[in-house]
Amino acid sequence: MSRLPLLDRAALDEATAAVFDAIASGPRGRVSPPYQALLRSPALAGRIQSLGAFLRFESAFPDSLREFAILITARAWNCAYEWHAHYPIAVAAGLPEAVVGAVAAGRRPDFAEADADAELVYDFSTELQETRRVSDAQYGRALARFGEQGVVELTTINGYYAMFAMILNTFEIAPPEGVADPFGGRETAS
Amino acid sequence: MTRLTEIETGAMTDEQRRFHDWMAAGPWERREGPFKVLLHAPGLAEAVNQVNQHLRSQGTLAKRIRELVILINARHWETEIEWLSHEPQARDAGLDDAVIAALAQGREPDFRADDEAAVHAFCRELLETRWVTDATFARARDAVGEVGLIEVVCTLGLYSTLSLVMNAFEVPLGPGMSTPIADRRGPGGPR
Repeated sequence: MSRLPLLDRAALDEATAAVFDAIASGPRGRVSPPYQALLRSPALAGRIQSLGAFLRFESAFPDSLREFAILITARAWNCAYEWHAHYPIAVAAGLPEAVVGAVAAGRRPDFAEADADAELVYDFSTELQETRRVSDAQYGRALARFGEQGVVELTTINGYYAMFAMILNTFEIAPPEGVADPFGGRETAS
Repeated sequence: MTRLTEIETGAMTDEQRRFHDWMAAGPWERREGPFKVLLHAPGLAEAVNQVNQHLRSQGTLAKRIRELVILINARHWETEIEWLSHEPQARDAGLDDAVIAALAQGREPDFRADDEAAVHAFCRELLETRWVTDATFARARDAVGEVGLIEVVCTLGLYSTLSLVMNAFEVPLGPGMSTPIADRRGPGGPR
């Protein structure tokens, strides 16, 4: 049970309804529970959704690698909702299920040669989130493969989806009822 | 030594150049902080700054609380440039010197204001355990309100993003700045 109830569209004031409709009519096609939480501050919700839309729909970083970084972040934050929302997008974008499954289980995946880019995203993101820094060697590898723009975008994706996990976890927004815990039994909400 | 190269102004998109000009007209932390990194991805600096500007100037949170959240964040990620940029802002906003000193040293501050204590407990618990207990949640929400709590979480999340950006690119301290987090861990352990 979330700590915030869902909004009733018909009961919203004009400013909130305008942002609600802008999000619903955009590429997302709906106002998901985390945006419902943010809509308690409609102007903030609008700006955060613009940043998210930029990362998701406009940035140059490849879809499958962005989604992988999101799943790594969701796992690091024990955020079942974020995992549940992005898992199908990640798999549809071409990430092997075995790679994703290992992350869900908290293990380092065995990366095939064809998944060298995903391996780089995994190592960079994990080192950054766990040690708060990246070594020269790690930075050099990411830079050589993704370029400065790519490393900036990858780093920002790590941060933005950590922010979303903070929102989701703070308000205990869980996946729909009946969805199995993706992380193997850990209670994800108190 | 920074990891980042300078973008030639001649190689910028119009949008990057507009943002660059806005940065150039601002104080040191605007020119030499996270936006210098974010500018390398056209469109990104502006999108991040839109969120930041809202939290800074249109939010409901007291500036003292917002700056407290930013210092907790800077300490957590050990982002010294962020700490140095915000410590004077926190002091101007009325955060006690003793609280600031305790945060810098990684000690539990002795808060005189209940809202500061509630928000501090909330941020630490969220950063360290990834979740917050019912009691911590309720105390923070009662202290700053529901919208205020959303702003606390978004400030923590946005500044975490800025910290990751500055840490990943090793954005350097300015000339003459001394390190405020004495026990900071570098990639190879404490310096």
